[in-house]
Amino acid sequence: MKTTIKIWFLMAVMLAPFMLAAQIQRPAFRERFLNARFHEICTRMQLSPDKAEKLKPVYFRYEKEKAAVFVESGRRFNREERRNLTVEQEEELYLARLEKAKKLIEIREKYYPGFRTVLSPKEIVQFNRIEMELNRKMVQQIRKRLNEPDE
Amino acid sequence: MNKEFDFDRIGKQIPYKVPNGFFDEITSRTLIKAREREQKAKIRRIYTAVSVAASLLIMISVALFLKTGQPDIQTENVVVQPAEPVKPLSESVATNTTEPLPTKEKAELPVIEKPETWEKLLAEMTDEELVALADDLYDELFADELTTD
Repeated sequence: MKTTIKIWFLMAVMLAPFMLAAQIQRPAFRERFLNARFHEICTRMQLSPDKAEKLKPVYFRYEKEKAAVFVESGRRFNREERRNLTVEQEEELYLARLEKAKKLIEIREKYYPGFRTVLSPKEIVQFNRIEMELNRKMVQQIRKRLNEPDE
Repeated sequence: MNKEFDFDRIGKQIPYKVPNGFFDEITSRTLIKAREREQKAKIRRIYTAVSVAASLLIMISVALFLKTGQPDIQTENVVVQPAEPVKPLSESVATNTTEPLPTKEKAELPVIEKPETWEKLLAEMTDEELVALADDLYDELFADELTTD
């Protein structure tokens, strides 16, 4: 018994740095990803460096809050499950998506004043449009990589 | 101390006594002790292997940790510099003048590191991560569809 506890303790000690590294690595990747997205949006909007610099913290906070919605979202279906969804699962997926959409719209509303301090209303609309286009482009790219047909 | 023994005085008596049934159980007790020794050696071997593995893993994870920490510093410090609008020729070049063009402004421009592209980062992701990301993007597009005309 004592030996088992010791072995478990040792394994926990062994795994701790890995878990820590994983925790650090993922947010770092997300940060890189956000940087890339932000750069693309700013380039397309032809924002001045000054405006881009002011917008960056607002955008990052906005994106992090959005990410929390995705993280807390319930069950995820894997690729295999997704091919053979039952009616109940389809419904579950749709309702979950609707719930997340509500939260995302709330976040967009919450951050509007923040965006407004840097961008004009017209620019905010442009920003959202470009973000949407970028999302579409990314989905296409992902589908291509996963060899999935376009919807 | 008298070192000489008088065997005649002792006779056939044995000076040492053993508990009853000592020799009957000696085989089983020896086997039990051998088994215990074997188990202890086994545990010691496991501990040695686990310690070696732990040391190796700690070394690898420290190396990985140090390696993954580096690019973040670079990327987080990247200042996003979108393309500057191109000035018309009449504004940027002084016409009908022999004076040299001002180069100071150009020399002061900071050297900008090109940030990573999202295409490159997508290529680094595993299939499972891509599926999860696509999921999130669908959710966002769904919200977009609800709010756009």
